[in-house]
Amino acid sequence: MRNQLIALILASVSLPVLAINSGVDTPRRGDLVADGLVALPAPAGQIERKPLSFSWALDPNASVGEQTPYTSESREFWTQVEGIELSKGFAIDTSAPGAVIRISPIGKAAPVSPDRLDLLRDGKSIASALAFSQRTTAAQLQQAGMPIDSGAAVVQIDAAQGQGRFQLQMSAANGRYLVHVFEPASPYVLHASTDRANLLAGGEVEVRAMLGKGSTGLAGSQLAGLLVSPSGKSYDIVFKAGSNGMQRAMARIPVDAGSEPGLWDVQVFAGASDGGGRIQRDTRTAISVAQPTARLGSSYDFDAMNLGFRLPVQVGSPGRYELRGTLFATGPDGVARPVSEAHSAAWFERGQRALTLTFERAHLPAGYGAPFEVRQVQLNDQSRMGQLESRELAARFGSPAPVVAQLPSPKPAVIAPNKPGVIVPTPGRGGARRFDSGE
Amino acid sequence: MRYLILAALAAMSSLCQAATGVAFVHGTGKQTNATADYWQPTMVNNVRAGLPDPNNYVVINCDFTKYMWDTDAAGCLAGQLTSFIAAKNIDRLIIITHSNGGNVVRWILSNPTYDSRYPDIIAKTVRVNALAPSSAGTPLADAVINGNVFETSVGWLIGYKSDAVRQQQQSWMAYYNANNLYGTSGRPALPKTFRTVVGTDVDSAVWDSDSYCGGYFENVGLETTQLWLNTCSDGFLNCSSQSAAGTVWFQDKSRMAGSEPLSHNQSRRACFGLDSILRTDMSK
Repeated sequence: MRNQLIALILASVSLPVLAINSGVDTPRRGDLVADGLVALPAPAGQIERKPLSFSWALDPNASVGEQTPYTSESREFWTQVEGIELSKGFAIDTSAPGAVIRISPIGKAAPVSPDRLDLLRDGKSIASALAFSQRTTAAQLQQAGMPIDSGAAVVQIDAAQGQGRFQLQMSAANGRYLVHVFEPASPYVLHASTDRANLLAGGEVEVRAMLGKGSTGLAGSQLAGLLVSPSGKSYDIVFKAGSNGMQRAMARIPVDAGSEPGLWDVQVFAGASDGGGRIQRDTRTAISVAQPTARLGSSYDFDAMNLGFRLPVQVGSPGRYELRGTLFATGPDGVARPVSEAHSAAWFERGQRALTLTFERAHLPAGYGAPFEVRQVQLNDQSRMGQLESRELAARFGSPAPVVAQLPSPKPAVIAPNKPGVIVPTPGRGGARRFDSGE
Repeated sequence: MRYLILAALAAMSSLCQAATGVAFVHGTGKQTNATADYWQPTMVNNVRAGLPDPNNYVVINCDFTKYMWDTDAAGCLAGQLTSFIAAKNIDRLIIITHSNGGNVVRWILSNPTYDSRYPDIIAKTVRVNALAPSSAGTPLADAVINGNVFETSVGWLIGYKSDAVRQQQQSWMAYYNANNLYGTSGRPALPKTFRTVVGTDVDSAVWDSDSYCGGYFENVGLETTQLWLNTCSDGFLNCSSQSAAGTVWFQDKSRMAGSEPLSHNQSRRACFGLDSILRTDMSK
């Protein structure tokens, strides 16, 4: 008890020394940083106004790392057909047995009944019992949770019919129809991805896409694309052929991009000929676009006693802003691992503000201490649902460590067991200093 | 010594007053009577019967056609949970979700500073039993939304899909999992346990009575929707999506009577002993 009291006194004496002010780490590849700020009006709606902070412990053995942007894969395409063409027999090239076909009436077109669809090959009708292995109505699919449009129908070509060119016929077709062809067993796949998932208005994103058979790009593939905002406004994407069948396009986000909720779609359409048949594929992936309404300052304060990480926030537009980050602490083996997650949010008017992530010292597992790192830092505009800034590694501290004269210097490389509320600086590995807990 | 005794008595008193409650959180859709229309009374009543006080339950009715963070979605859920916690003095909350309801709850757990009601809900929550959660989205959402690939020219022709469907596209959920939600691979863990029940297959043979649990007609369409999914799926979600966040509590065939699978419609109904397993969990 006496030792604990002494240690507490010593810790409180050392508090001012343990408050660190330093610069935020230089942005790294993949980090999101705003060059300037915009002044937007305060967002409407029910938005929380109370400042809130929250943190919780993480299991240091569960890895936390950088996320890679999503890569979409498609074995399907969509096209439109006039009723008159469908009534005569609409040609569909398939590249594998078992193609699934969905037909949806557009506008006032006559509804589709799966029992009234016929399949032909080379102009000859295939017996109804042999043509399709599945016939499903819109009502059945809606009951299953698939929200397809009423009046639509889905059929699957019986795998025994093989692949190649078929004609799909609906005698009573009248109007226009959307035809969706999905080939689950096809070797032809369209892949698409972007080099980043978060952008600010005016930013640029690279789109990569490849129509391939297996991992090999199809020669002569034609690719086109659209960048579509949540409100439906679209912008063309123009691809350029690259190596190994991969095609790339640079797409610039308009400076006046809106702040409506939802993600932007990157839609990619591909076509090629192979083996005497047409190969068509469509796919899409998603990115987030935000207006730069705030950004982080370039320096931080770290309160080692309370594990508080305070970052200045430059606010250009009134709104609710959230800072979140993961504290990594150094384990007994010298490896930094995630130990605590903290969030902090508040409503801010324009000007210089600050948010503090308070990682609880109680979250430090036994034997864990400095050097600390704050990673996975995000500044979010909660009121406009946008990510404004991200840093894979925002700060690392624990070096150089202050010397507290009243305390004996622990031996290098020996890490004392942690005791909540008590901090003792000790030398770290490689000449670096670390903060550890101990009596 | 006297203080110690008083402290012990206070602690015991606190334990005696502890109230465990359960909340049923539905999936995509706007519900006004989820007990009858979504879960069915047998499921709700059998599960809550496992509580020390079976009256400590709430069946959520919100508009989950909206984005998960929307006032009508997570905001409505937070309001109903907060009222329930206050009215019943709940200090141990078990949340049972189905499908997209798992995403709405995960939004609250992952974004504690978004709404001042969230921290108390998180503090009271002991675990989430997520039945077939759509944590990584579903190819079916992609299929129906991608029909809107022509949206800019003829979008009105194909019809509007709800924000919840847009949100459950695989690429969208990948984004939200990587940026706004926790609990998936490589991301910080959620502040509370989120464990999933995974449906792995669909039985819809007309001669098989098991196909009729939860409604035969609802299961028929799942055979077709499975065409868009992997070998392991519940007819609406791949197993990989159901397992993407939190930890897997169990896969259907390992615990269901007769090793039956749970289709996506059956995992919210009293089918093959699922209700019994959840009832038993209420007392833990």
